[in-house]
Amino acid sequence: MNRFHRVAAPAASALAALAVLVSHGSAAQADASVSGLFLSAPIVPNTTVIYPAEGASFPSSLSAEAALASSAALTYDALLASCPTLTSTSGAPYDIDTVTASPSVARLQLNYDSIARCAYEHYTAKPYWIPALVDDVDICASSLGAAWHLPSEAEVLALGADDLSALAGAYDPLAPTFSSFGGMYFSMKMYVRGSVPDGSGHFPLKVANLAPSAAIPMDELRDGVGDVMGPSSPNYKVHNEAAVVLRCVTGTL
Amino acid sequence: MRELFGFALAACLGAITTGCSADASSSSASGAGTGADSGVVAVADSGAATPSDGGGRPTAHPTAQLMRNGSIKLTRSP
Repeated sequence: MNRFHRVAAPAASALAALAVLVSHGSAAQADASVSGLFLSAPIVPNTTVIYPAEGASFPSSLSAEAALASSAALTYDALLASCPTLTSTSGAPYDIDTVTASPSVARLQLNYDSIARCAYEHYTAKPYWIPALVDDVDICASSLGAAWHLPSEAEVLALGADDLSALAGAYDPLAPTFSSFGGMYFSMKMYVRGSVPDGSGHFPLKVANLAPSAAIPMDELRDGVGDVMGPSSPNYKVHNEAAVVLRCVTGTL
Repeated sequence: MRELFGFALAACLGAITTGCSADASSSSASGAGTGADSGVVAVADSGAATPSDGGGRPTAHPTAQLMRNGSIKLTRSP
Protein backbone atom coordinates (compact mmCIF):
# COMPACT_ATOMS: atom_id res chain seq x y z
CA MET A 1 0.00 0.00 0.00
CA ASN A 2 2.80 2.39 0.76
CA ARG A 3 5.86 2.20 -1.41
CA PHE A 4 7.90 4.07 1.18
CA HIS A 5 7.46 1.43 3.85
CA ARG A 6 10.69 -0.30 2.98
CA VAL A 7 12.60 2.64 4.40
CA ALA A 8 10.06 3.81 6.96
CA ALA A 9 11.12 4.51 10.50
CA PRO A 10 8.89 3.22 13.30
CA ALA A 11 7.55 6.72 13.87
CA ALA A 12 6.57 6.88 10.23
CA SER A 13 4.52 3.71 10.51
CA ALA A 14 2.66 5.17 13.44
CA LEU A 15 2.01 8.35 11.52
CA ALA A 16 0.81 6.38 8.51
CA ALA A 17 -1.67 4.59 10.72
CA LEU A 18 -2.82 7.93 12.08
CA ALA A 19 -3.22 9.28 8.57
CA VAL A 20 -5.47 6.38 7.65
CA LEU A 21 -7.43 6.91 10.84
CA VAL A 22 -7.89 10.58 10.04
CA SER A 23 -8.91 9.83 6.48
CA HIS A 24 -11.76 7.71 7.77
CA GLY A 25 -13.07 10.46 9.97
CA SER A 26 -12.28 9.23 13.45
CA ALA A 27 -9.84 12.01 14.12
CA ALA A 28 -10.86 14.46 11.45
CA GLN A 29 -11.79 16.99 14.08
CA ALA A 30 -8.23 17.09 15.39
CA ASP A 31 -7.45 20.12 13.24
CA ALA A 32 -10.63 21.79 12.12
CA SER A 33 -8.81 24.96 11.04
CA VAL A 34 -7.16 23.38 8.00
CA SER A 35 -8.73 20.75 5.81
CA GLY A 36 -6.23 18.81 3.76
CA LEU A 37 -2.48 18.73 3.40
CA PHE A 38 -0.99 21.57 1.41
CA LEU A 39 2.31 21.20 -0.46
CA SER A 40 3.66 24.58 -1.48
CA ALA A 41 5.12 25.59 -4.78
CA PRO A 42 8.92 25.53 -4.64
CA ILE A 43 10.61 28.37 -2.80
CA VAL A 44 13.49 28.97 -5.15
CA PRO A 45 16.76 30.76 -4.41
CA ASN A 46 17.97 33.72 -6.35
CA THR A 47 21.38 32.28 -7.20
CA THR A 48 22.93 35.71 -7.71
CA VAL A 49 22.29 36.24 -3.98
CA ILE A 50 23.49 32.90 -2.60
CA TYR A 51 26.50 32.27 -4.84
CA PRO A 52 28.56 35.15 -3.41
CA ALA A 53 27.73 33.97 0.13
CA GLU A 54 28.82 30.35 -0.13
CA GLY A 55 31.91 28.47 0.98
CA ALA A 56 34.37 30.68 2.82
CA SER A 57 31.89 33.55 2.56
CA PHE A 58 29.06 31.62 4.21
CA PRO A 59 27.56 33.54 7.15
CA SER A 60 29.12 32.86 10.53
CA SER A 61 25.99 33.47 12.60
CA LEU A 62 22.45 32.12 12.48
CA SER A 63 21.03 35.62 12.20
CA ALA A 64 23.20 36.28 9.17
CA GLU A 65 22.12 32.99 7.66
CA ALA A 66 18.48 33.95 8.19
CA ALA A 67 19.08 37.28 6.52
CA LEU A 68 20.73 35.58 3.56
CA ALA A 69 17.88 33.10 3.21
CA SER A 70 15.33 35.90 3.40
CA SER A 71 17.04 37.92 0.69
CA ALA A 72 17.42 34.91 -1.60
CA ALA A 73 14.05 33.18 -1.16
CA LEU A 74 11.60 33.67 -4.02
CA THR A 75 8.07 32.67 -3.13
CA TYR A 76 5.33 31.98 -5.63
CA ASP A 77 3.20 34.79 -4.26
CA ALA A 78 6.04 37.28 -4.53
CA LEU A 79 6.72 36.21 -8.11
CA LEU A 80 3.02 36.46 -8.84
CA ALA A 81 3.24 40.08 -7.78
CA SER A 82 6.42 41.03 -9.63
CA CYS A 83 6.41 38.98 -12.82
CA PRO A 84 3.37 40.60 -14.51
CA THR A 85 5.39 43.79 -14.81
CA LEU A 86 8.34 42.06 -16.46
CA THR A 87 9.05 40.96 -20.00
CA SER A 88 10.18 37.49 -20.93
CA THR A 89 13.32 36.82 -22.92
CA SER A 90 11.12 36.23 -25.94
CA GLY A 91 10.17 39.89 -25.77
CA ALA A 92 6.57 39.38 -24.75
CA PRO A 93 5.13 40.12 -21.33
CA TYR A 94 4.59 37.14 -19.07
CA ASP A 95 1.09 35.75 -19.49
CA ILE A 96 -0.10 36.26 -15.93
CA ASP A 97 -3.49 37.45 -14.73
CA THR A 98 -3.93 38.17 -11.05
CA VAL A 99 -6.89 40.51 -11.50
CA THR A 100 -9.73 38.21 -12.53
CA ALA A 101 -11.78 37.34 -9.46
CA SER A 102 -12.66 33.84 -10.57
CA PRO A 103 -9.99 32.78 -13.03
CA SER A 104 -10.52 29.69 -15.11
CA VAL A 105 -8.43 26.58 -14.69
CA ALA A 106 -6.67 27.28 -17.98
CA ARG A 107 -5.93 30.84 -16.86
CA LEU A 108 -4.31 29.72 -13.63
CA GLN A 109 -2.34 27.04 -15.42
CA LEU A 110 -0.87 29.73 -17.64
CA ASN A 111 0.00 31.71 -14.54
CA TYR A 112 1.90 28.78 -13.08
CA ASP A 113 3.82 28.12 -16.27
CA SER A 114 4.69 31.80 -16.61
CA ILE A 115 5.85 32.07 -13.00
CA ALA A 116 8.17 29.12 -13.54
CA ARG A 117 9.67 30.82 -16.57
CA CYS A 118 9.91 34.23 -14.92
CA ALA A 119 11.63 32.86 -11.81
CA TYR A 120 14.45 31.55 -13.92
CA GLU A 121 14.70 34.28 -16.53
CA HIS A 122 14.52 37.27 -14.21
CA TYR A 123 15.79 36.03 -10.87
CA THR A 124 18.25 33.32 -11.96
CA ALA A 125 16.34 30.95 -9.74
CA LYS A 126 17.64 27.39 -9.79
CA PRO A 127 17.12 24.39 -7.50
CA TYR A 128 20.50 25.06 -5.94
CA TRP A 129 19.91 26.00 -2.30
CA ILE A 130 22.95 25.82 -0.01
CA PRO A 131 22.22 22.77 2.19
CA ALA A 132 23.50 24.42 5.38
CA LEU A 133 21.05 27.26 4.84
CA VAL A 134 18.11 24.87 4.45
CA ASP A 135 19.31 22.97 7.49
CA ASP A 136 19.87 25.94 9.79
CA VAL A 137 17.08 28.33 8.80
CA ASP A 138 13.36 27.66 8.90
CA ILE A 139 12.85 29.06 5.42
CA CYS A 140 9.30 27.72 5.19
CA ALA A 141 8.07 29.60 8.23
CA SER A 142 10.00 32.77 7.47
CA SER A 143 8.85 32.87 3.85
CA LEU A 144 5.28 31.53 4.00
CA GLY A 145 4.23 31.97 7.61
CA ALA A 146 4.44 30.10 10.87
CA ALA A 147 1.96 27.43 9.78
CA TRP A 148 4.35 26.12 7.14
CA HIS A 149 7.29 23.82 7.73
CA LEU A 150 9.80 21.68 5.89
CA PRO A 151 8.21 18.27 5.27
CA SER A 152 9.39 15.61 7.65
CA GLU A 153 10.48 12.20 6.49
CA ALA A 154 7.59 10.77 8.50
CA GLU A 155 5.04 12.99 6.78
CA VAL A 156 6.24 11.85 3.39
CA LEU A 157 6.35 8.23 4.42
CA ALA A 158 2.72 8.51 5.50
CA LEU A 159 1.67 9.15 1.91
CA GLY A 160 0.40 6.15 0.02
CA ALA A 161 0.77 5.36 -3.64
CA ASP A 162 -2.67 6.79 -4.39
CA ASP A 163 -1.72 10.05 -2.67
CA LEU A 164 1.41 10.34 -4.80
CA SER A 165 -0.55 9.63 -7.97
CA ALA A 166 -3.00 12.34 -7.06
CA LEU A 167 -0.21 14.84 -6.33
CA ALA A 168 1.51 14.10 -9.62
CA GLY A 169 -1.81 14.36 -11.43
CA ALA A 170 -2.27 17.91 -10.24
CA TYR A 171 0.63 18.87 -12.47
CA ASP A 172 -0.29 16.75 -15.48
CA PRO A 173 -1.88 19.60 -17.42
CA LEU A 174 0.99 21.89 -16.46
CA ALA A 175 3.96 20.36 -18.21
CA PRO A 176 6.36 23.22 -18.87
CA THR A 177 6.25 24.51 -22.40
CA PHE A 178 9.87 25.52 -22.35
CA SER A 179 13.28 24.02 -21.64
CA SER A 180 15.09 25.80 -18.88
CA PHE A 181 15.66 25.66 -15.16
CA GLY A 182 12.07 26.84 -14.81
CA GLY A 183 11.23 23.16 -15.06
CA MET A 184 12.16 22.89 -11.39
CA TYR A 185 8.72 24.24 -10.61
CA PHE A 186 7.36 20.86 -11.63
CA SER A 187 9.88 18.79 -9.70
CA MET A 188 8.80 16.62 -6.76
CA LYS A 189 12.37 15.89 -5.66
CA MET A 190 12.50 17.85 -2.43
CA TYR A 191 14.22 18.41 0.89
CA VAL A 192 12.74 16.71 3.94
CA ARG A 193 13.81 16.61 7.57
CA GLY A 194 14.96 13.12 8.51
CA SER A 195 13.11 11.40 11.31
CA VAL A 196 16.09 9.61 12.80
CA PRO A 197 18.82 11.64 14.52
CA ASP A 198 22.45 11.15 13.70
CA GLY A 199 25.13 10.48 16.31
CA SER A 200 25.11 14.09 17.46
CA GLY A 201 21.34 14.24 17.91
CA HIS A 202 20.87 16.23 14.73
CA PHE A 203 17.95 15.33 12.46
CA PRO A 204 19.63 15.42 9.05
CA LEU A 205 18.24 16.66 5.79
CA LYS A 206 17.16 13.95 3.41
CA VAL A 207 15.68 13.97 -0.09
CA ALA A 208 12.26 12.63 -1.01
CA ASN A 209 11.02 12.19 -4.54
CA LEU A 210 7.24 12.16 -4.62
CA ALA A 211 7.04 11.37 -8.32
CA PRO A 212 5.20 8.03 -8.54
CA SER A 213 7.83 6.75 -10.96
CA ALA A 214 10.79 7.72 -8.77
CA ALA A 215 13.38 4.95 -8.58
CA ILE A 216 14.61 6.20 -5.19
CA PRO A 217 11.67 7.69 -3.27
CA MET A 218 13.69 8.51 -0.15
CA ASP A 219 17.42 9.07 -0.11
CA GLU A 220 20.25 10.62 1.82
CA LEU A 221 21.22 14.13 0.86
CA ARG A 222 23.77 13.97 -1.93
CA ASP A 223 25.88 16.49 -3.77
CA GLY A 224 25.93 17.08 -7.49
CA VAL A 225 28.15 14.06 -8.16
CA GLY A 226 26.11 11.70 -5.99
CA ASP A 227 28.19 11.60 -2.82
CA VAL A 228 26.29 11.59 0.49
CA MET A 229 26.79 14.82 2.35
CA GLY A 230 26.10 16.17 5.83
CA PRO A 231 26.93 19.13 8.06
CA SER A 232 30.57 18.10 8.29
CA SER A 233 31.01 17.81 4.53
CA PRO A 234 33.21 20.52 3.04
CA ASN A 235 30.62 21.33 0.38
CA TYR A 236 27.71 21.61 2.81
CA LYS A 237 27.99 25.39 2.67
CA VAL A 238 28.16 25.50 -1.12
CA HIS A 239 25.15 25.53 -3.44
CA ASN A 240 24.07 22.00 -4.26
CA GLU A 241 23.68 21.14 -7.93
CA ALA A 242 21.89 17.88 -7.15
CA ALA A 243 18.73 19.80 -8.07
CA VAL A 244 16.63 19.45 -4.94
CA VAL A 245 13.71 21.85 -4.58
CA LEU A 246 12.46 23.37 -1.35
CA ARG A 247 8.75 22.83 -0.82
CA CYS A 248 6.83 23.33 2.40
CA VAL A 249 3.76 21.75 3.94
CA THR A 250 0.90 22.76 6.20
CA GLY A 251 -2.32 21.14 7.29
CA THR A 252 -3.12 17.50 7.80
CA LEU A 253 -4.76 14.69 5.92
CA MET B 1 8.51 14.79 -14.74
CA ARG B 2 11.99 13.71 -13.74
CA GLU B 3 12.94 13.13 -17.33
CA LEU B 4 11.67 16.51 -18.31
CA PHE B 5 13.61 18.16 -15.56
CA GLY B 6 16.70 16.23 -16.50
CA PHE B 7 16.31 17.51 -20.01
CA ALA B 8 16.15 21.04 -18.69
CA LEU B 9 19.31 20.50 -16.73
CA ALA B 10 21.07 19.04 -19.72
CA ALA B 11 20.05 22.00 -21.80
CA CYS B 12 21.91 24.30 -19.46
CA LEU B 13 24.69 21.97 -18.43
CA GLY B 14 27.36 23.89 -20.20
CA ALA B 15 26.46 27.10 -18.48
CA ILE B 16 25.75 25.92 -14.95
CA THR B 17 28.71 27.55 -13.31
CA THR B 18 28.17 30.85 -14.97
CA GLY B 19 24.39 30.78 -15.06
CA CYS B 20 22.42 30.31 -18.23
CA SER B 21 19.82 32.95 -17.72
CA ALA B 22 19.67 35.74 -20.24
CA ASP B 23 18.87 38.15 -17.46
CA ALA B 24 20.98 37.91 -14.35
CA SER B 25 19.10 40.53 -12.41
CA SER B 26 19.96 40.34 -8.75
CA SER B 27 16.80 41.91 -7.46
CA SER B 28 14.79 39.78 -5.09
CA ALA B 29 11.10 39.17 -5.03
CA SER B 30 11.14 37.61 -1.61
CA GLY B 31 8.11 38.14 0.48
CA ALA B 32 5.58 36.62 2.78
CA GLY B 33 3.21 34.09 1.38
CA THR B 34 -0.53 34.20 1.64
CA GLY B 35 -2.89 31.67 3.03
CA ALA B 36 -2.86 28.18 1.65
CA ASP B 37 -6.42 27.97 0.40
CA SER B 38 -6.63 30.71 -2.19
CA GLY B 39 -8.33 29.17 -5.17
CA VAL B 40 -8.39 25.97 -7.12
CA VAL B 41 -6.35 25.59 -10.28
CA ALA B 42 -6.88 22.00 -11.24
CA VAL B 43 -8.15 18.84 -9.67
CA ALA B 44 -6.38 15.54 -10.01
CA ASP B 45 -7.94 12.27 -9.05
CA SER B 46 -5.77 9.28 -8.34
CA GLY B 47 -8.19 7.07 -10.19
CA ALA B 48 -7.99 4.49 -7.45
CA ALA B 49 -10.98 2.22 -7.63
CA THR B 50 -10.15 -0.41 -5.07
CA PRO B 51 -13.11 -0.71 -2.72
CA SER B 52 -11.07 -1.65 0.32
CA ASP B 53 -7.59 -1.86 1.71
CA GLY B 54 -7.88 -5.56 2.34
CA GLY B 55 -9.10 -5.10 5.86
CA GLY B 56 -12.70 -4.53 4.97
CA ARG B 57 -12.43 -0.78 5.46
CA PRO B 58 -13.20 1.48 2.48
CA THR B 59 -10.00 2.88 0.95
CA ALA B 60 -9.53 6.61 1.24
CA HIS B 61 -9.79 8.31 -2.13
CA PRO B 62 -7.21 11.08 -2.49
CA THR B 63 -7.78 14.19 -4.55
CA ALA B 64 -5.20 16.88 -5.33
CA GLN B 65 -6.09 20.43 -6.24
CA LEU B 66 -3.58 22.91 -7.55
CA MET B 67 -4.27 26.23 -5.89
CA ARG B 68 -3.96 29.82 -7.00
CA ASN B 69 -0.83 30.28 -4.90
CA GLY B 70 0.90 27.36 -6.57
CA SER B 71 0.40 24.93 -3.72
CA ILE B 72 -1.29 21.55 -4.06
CA LYS B 73 -4.06 20.65 -1.66
CA LEU B 74 -4.30 16.92 -0.97
CA THR B 75 -7.44 15.57 0.61
CA ARG B 76 -8.84 12.10 1.16
CA SER B 77 -12.44 11.10 1.05
CA PRO B 78 -13.80 7.67 1.86
